[in-house]
Amino acid sequence: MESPSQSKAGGQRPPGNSRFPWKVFFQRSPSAVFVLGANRRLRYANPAWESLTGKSFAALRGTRISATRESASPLWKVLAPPLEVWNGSVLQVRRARPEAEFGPPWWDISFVPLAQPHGNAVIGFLTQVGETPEKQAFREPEALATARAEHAKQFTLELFAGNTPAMQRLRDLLRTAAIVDAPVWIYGGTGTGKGTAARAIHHLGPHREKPFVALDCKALQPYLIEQLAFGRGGFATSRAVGTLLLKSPECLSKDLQAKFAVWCEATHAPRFVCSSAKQPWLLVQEGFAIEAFSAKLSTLEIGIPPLMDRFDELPCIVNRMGVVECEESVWPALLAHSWPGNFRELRAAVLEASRNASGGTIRAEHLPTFVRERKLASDSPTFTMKPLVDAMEKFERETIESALGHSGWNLKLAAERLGISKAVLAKRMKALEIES
Amino acid sequence: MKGSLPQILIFAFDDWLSNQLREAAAERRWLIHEVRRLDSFRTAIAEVRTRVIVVQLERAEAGEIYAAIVQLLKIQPETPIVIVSDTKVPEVERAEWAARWFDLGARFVMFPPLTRAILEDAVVGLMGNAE
Repeated sequence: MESPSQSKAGGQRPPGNSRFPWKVFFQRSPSAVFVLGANRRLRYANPAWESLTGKSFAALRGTRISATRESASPLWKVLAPPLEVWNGSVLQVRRARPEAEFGPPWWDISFVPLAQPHGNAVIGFLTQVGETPEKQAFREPEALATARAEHAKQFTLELFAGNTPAMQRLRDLLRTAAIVDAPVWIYGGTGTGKGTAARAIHHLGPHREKPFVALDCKALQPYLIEQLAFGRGGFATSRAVGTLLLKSPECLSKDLQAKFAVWCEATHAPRFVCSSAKQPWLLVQEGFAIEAFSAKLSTLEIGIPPLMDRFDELPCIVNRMGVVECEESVWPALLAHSWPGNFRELRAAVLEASRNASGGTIRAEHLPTFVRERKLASDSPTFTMKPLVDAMEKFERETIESALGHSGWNLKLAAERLGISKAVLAKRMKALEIES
Repeated sequence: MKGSLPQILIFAFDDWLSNQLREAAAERRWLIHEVRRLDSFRTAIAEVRTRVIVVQLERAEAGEIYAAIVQLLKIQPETPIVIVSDTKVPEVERAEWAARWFDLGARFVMFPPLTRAILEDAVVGLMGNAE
């Protein structure tokens, strides 16, 4: 699109207008106006602009306004005209205010190019749109507030009770995490209670008055996460969230990780917590996380020990799951299993046992089959774990000796019975040291 | 083996949600169990094979639905819940509502205009993760 000034021959001022006092109009205007020279430096800004941006023009005169420079301040990134404007197009853009990061409020900026002998200058008109979040009054229904309070009661540090040094250290770390208000990265195996730990931190910390939001980056596609966080009416556009938990953040795209890394540094950002099976540095090393994301969101790292490390406290853990009573025979069965799914697996097993016991005392026969079978296997006197090679060798020897016995130690007949050649049988007999 | 198939439980006041998910569920051999009444919903949430619960929030019954969700999550905290709002919410209030429903235990929240693709992607993702 051709700008109005370009229609004038050679971009020269119209005759008689050389002393036109254009600055006076802008100086008194309630609209924020700024002018960039062809070299992209700030040439003029009126008092309304100073009031809206909170910056002094006198201090910034001549500053280069660029969105692409690494050192560019957030304000310059917002005020920088798009390339099309420098190429002569009039354009209006909506951008979040620098301190709002994602808006509201937003700034609507109309860019108008002005043809000059050495390239286009640009005049920008700036207006603010969208209420600031403080002005919004959200009234939460009482039923919802009551239900949330009831749900929150479950998440206390008592869930991580235990007398082992590892558990005492974990509780100390969780308390510290609640106090320091820095991003936390929780790592541990499946079902160890990373989400529960994140909620415990939230309810102990300064953000507890606001909601706790957990985004499952593994289950939800990246575009759904992006929509929830950064879309229209997304969490980043408000101050609604107290703590944001990103579960398995390594499943996020690199772009989205970068967006979260920027958001976590915003003035009114929620407290960020990430949870993953592996430590953040390892995810970076394996190429699943970008360094900026991992560095900014793992100020404090907390590892949750697996259930196997807490077997001494198994009765306490099971009792906390709301079980009325367990017979003594239950504990050896529970201890015989390795619980690769940790608390999640244990809770599912206890729930099933409780259901089988119709809410009464749980006995060993009420436990799920996989737990009982493991116990039977470990109790069996003939059950001994042997290396696979030994077991295969024993089986092969027994099979060959049986075939030889049934064939009167005739190698040809035995080989036929086994479905192999006589040469192969002889070779295997030699290897297994079977005398013919 | 109908009894062992994973199940999506839908609590809604019309069949729109189940119709949107029927095709995706059939492809993956999942069952759809749809309930319309609150007492049926309370009974159905105790079923072990339920993997994902989709709840359409009706303002009149919202309090009781919230209480049922809290009760369910006390027993089965891993159950993924998708909350679908039945009314349009102003854009500035969306995050406030969504954050509170997430705080209650929802894994995904949807506001009108509802689209099949988003509902399908969310439910299929949560079902897959729960399996």
